[in-house]
Amino acid sequence: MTDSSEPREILLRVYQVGFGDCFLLTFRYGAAGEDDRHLLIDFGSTEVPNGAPERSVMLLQIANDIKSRCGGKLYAVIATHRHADHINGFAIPKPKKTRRNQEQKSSGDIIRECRPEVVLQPWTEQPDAPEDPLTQSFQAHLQTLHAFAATVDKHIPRLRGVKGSSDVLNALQLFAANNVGGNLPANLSAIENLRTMGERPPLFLSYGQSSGLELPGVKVHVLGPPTLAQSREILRQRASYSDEFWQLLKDSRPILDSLDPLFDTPATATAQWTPQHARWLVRRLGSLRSEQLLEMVRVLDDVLNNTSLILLFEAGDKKLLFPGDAQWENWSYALNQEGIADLLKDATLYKVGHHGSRNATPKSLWKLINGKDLISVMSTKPDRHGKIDRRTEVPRATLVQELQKRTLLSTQDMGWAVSSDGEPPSQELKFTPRYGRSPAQRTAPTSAEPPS
Amino acid sequence: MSPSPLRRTQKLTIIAKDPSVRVGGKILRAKIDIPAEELSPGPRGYRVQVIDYDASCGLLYPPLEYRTLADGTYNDPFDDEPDETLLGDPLFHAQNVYAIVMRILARFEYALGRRVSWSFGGHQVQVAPHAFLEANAFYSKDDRSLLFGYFPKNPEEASAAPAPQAAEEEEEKTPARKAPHFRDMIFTCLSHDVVAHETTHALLDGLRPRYIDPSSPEQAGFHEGFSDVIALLSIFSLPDIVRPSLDHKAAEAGDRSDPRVISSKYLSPEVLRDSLLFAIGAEIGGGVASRDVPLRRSIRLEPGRDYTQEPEYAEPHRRGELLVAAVMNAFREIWLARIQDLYPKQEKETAADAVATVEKKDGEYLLDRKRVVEEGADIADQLLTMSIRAIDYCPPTDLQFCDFLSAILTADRELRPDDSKFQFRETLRRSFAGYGITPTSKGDRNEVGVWEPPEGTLSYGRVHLDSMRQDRDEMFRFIWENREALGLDRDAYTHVLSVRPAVRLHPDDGFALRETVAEYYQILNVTAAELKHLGIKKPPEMPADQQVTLYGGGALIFDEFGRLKFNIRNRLLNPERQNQRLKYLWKFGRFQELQILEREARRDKTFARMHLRRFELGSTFPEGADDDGFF
Repeated sequence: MTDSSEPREILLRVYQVGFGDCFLLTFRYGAAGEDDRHLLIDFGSTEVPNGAPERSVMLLQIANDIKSRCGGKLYAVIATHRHADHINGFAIPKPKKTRRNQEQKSSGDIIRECRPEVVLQPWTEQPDAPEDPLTQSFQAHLQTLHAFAATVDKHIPRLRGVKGSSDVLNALQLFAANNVGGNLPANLSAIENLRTMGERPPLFLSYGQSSGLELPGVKVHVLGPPTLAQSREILRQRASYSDEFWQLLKDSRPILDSLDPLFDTPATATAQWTPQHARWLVRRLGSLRSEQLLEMVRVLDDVLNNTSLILLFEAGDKKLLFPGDAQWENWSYALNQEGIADLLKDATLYKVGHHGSRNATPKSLWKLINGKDLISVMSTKPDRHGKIDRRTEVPRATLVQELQKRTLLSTQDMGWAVSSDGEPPSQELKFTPRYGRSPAQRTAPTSAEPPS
Repeated sequence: MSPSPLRRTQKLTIIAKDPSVRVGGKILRAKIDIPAEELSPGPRGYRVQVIDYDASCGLLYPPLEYRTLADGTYNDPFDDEPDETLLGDPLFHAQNVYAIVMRILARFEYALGRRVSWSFGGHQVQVAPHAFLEANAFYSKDDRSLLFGYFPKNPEEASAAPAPQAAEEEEEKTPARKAPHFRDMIFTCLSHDVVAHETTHALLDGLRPRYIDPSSPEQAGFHEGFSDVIALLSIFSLPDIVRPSLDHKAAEAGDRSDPRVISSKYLSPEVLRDSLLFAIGAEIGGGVASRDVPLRRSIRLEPGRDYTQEPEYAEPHRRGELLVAAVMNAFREIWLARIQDLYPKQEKETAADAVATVEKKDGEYLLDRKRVVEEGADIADQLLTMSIRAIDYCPPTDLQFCDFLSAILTADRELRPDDSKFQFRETLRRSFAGYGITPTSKGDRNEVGVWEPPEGTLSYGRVHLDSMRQDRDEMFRFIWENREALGLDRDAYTHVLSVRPAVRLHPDDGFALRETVAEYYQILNVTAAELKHLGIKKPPEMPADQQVTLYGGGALIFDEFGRLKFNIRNRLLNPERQNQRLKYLWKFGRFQELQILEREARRDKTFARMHLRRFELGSTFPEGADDDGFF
């Protein structure tokens, strides 16, 4: 009989989802499959890997693989934040009937069938916001940002007709689609599925709270996001005018939807013909417009990234860090708290934040976790976001170089090849915790709050 | 018969302030003088071309075409047109922006006595009055254009706005229009102050291109503050606008018996401060904030507090408001002092000058409206000219408000040595001091705060004076020959940015003051480790191998005989200023931004970014998360 008070092994399965995140974390207490606890950390993709089938098919293949590996039972689902590339796998679109008139299941159905006991999300997802007016206004702000992204998303076909750089428009499309929140039916269904799939009510967490996970021998530290009472950093990107400004943009939607001109004066659609003297400005203004929108949508992307749940799983001498897409503003609170630097010092595994973008792995964090045995895991797809000459490419080359000085597992090296058993590509990492045998450690609480 | 001489000016109708300002229920409008010229449909003229392209809808509105009249001018098609036409005809919007941009350009050229170029190098700026659907307007150097957005009014206001009778009848015949309509929109191109503000950015950037470099909150704030100052004063200098605006709210409420007079109760410092004449973006501010507040009303910042030490005023726009407050408070003070002369000094004077000044009751006087307004317009005009001329006397890099103060004092002193009559300079010194801004220069024997004459002996022997008036290479030769005396750094890269003539007419005797203005700048690239040897402090967290660029430079003012009068400079190795600059740039993570902009030669996007920041972006690089903080 194995000792089930602490995990014997920790397994991390990294799925190839292209641009997105999907990790199956398993704490193994007994023989394989006997007493495992499986946690699914994020499940989404906005850009499938080269060679993969269309997104819904790929996500379904992965969902089925997760189901079979966890034996049809997930202990918990963790959705770090609301971006589509982290949650759209949980979506349950309206059922399509197949030719045989059978309802086709979606990836969201399959995960739901795994009956997770609990779903963890950041505090910003809490539907009944606390009474604190600042929190309520921040959540309203997030809603407005989503609505703006949805407006832009809808506007893109027209922008393509107006001309402009296709690079910028492609980026705009990706960012906008990723930020629409519940304004797109598919995303809304993912959000609703996450709220209702757990056997227990979902937990909405912030820095320092208990994770609510019951994993014997494992301390789970919630390192972010801070609440607004703890830190105003995640409010930084909004200035005093912001709500009204975004509100105005959101309200622009009926105008964008309408094809009628603003004035009674007849106007020429430049997509058909432009007089010679106006061509230069028409071209310049077309690309400027998309660049402006992109800049704004990027801001809301950052805002949402900073709502990411940051979790550290600690078992014996192993520490596994999952920061979602948290950026500096989210991280800065935890990093300034007493004891956190020591806690992060000998991390075993780092899930690279935000697919390897520049802003999500501050040097101050890297200096802390950069031990010689560190393994980094990065789920990403190159050439989709950013520009090398602007130092915004994802993944950021200089960051990758730094990560490679230790051990780096990146999904960009995985390709897409379904095995003969029909399994989608994934890779497994195995960690064997070693335990000090001091009595104090043997009786360590199953879940712990970080020192504050 | 010889042809009659061509008319040099032309009058066109514009919306006086913005469509929210109404007198007697009608939008207040004005006819302004602008340079006359041969226009192509657009209007497209020799310096300004209106191209009415809407990038949000991909629509191009038709150009405005004028009819040439017998005297060589063109017709004003919107003279006496109803408000509905002004709001709903994009052709009027085109005229409105064309006329205001031309007027500001002409105002700069008048003040400086020379043609003033747009910063992008071309001759014609393109203006898009309905550029995009967004609550924003800006100058885009890269796109050689002034772009004005439009955005929906808040729904309550839109539905409350009365639709004119004719339109209502028309709507009855046709099914209700669901699509958005111009009546539900706020157009930034119809705000006089916004158009003037953006035009000033384009002109200031042409005069002093290094002012958009990241340097200090004051340099960043200067562009904003100066553009507000020019916008406010240029509107104040139009009596047609000021005359009905002073008490327009009272007039709306029916409190105006005789339009020839104005009650002294509307001329107290407090009431003036709150009048819309001192506000920027009244309609737009209301639209953005859904409240009756303009975008800015800087004059409300009371003097006597050192705002510069408060964190809020490290933000460039807020800092810029201090400049606006200092200039506009001086304006109000000089104006009110002159209005004092209109009050009866004794009872008998009241009787003698009964129309001009009549005592009403409870100490309230009725003053001659025309004279009150003309005094204001005259002062505004002079302050406007002084402010524009001051730019020639400002150092070309790392500008601070104290430099601008020394510049405005010197530029004016050169032309009008005697300040005793209206005390412009004295009042400016006092008003700026109220905001903690004292002149950079101690002054000379005769006047406090003006730039001091150059030190040392200069050599003119090897340069040709005539060539030096227009040739940058000749000017560089002079600078190089005199590099020690001028205090240049020997090792830095040195570049003459411009050599320009300036002609100004003396207000008293009408004789011309001729000057030549040259600006040069210097750049030194060093590593942070090298700063110590230059006497400059490295910000504590800055890594030793961080590349740092130091700027310096000067404006050289020569008299009509080609002799140097002033060397107005920011020394490259001025430890105090460089320490401040590096500390600020490092603290706010501007190094990153600076390097991206330098690398991509994208400084032109600065205005778009600055204006977006006003709304949302804030500092995209949070404090402490500096360039070195990321891979």
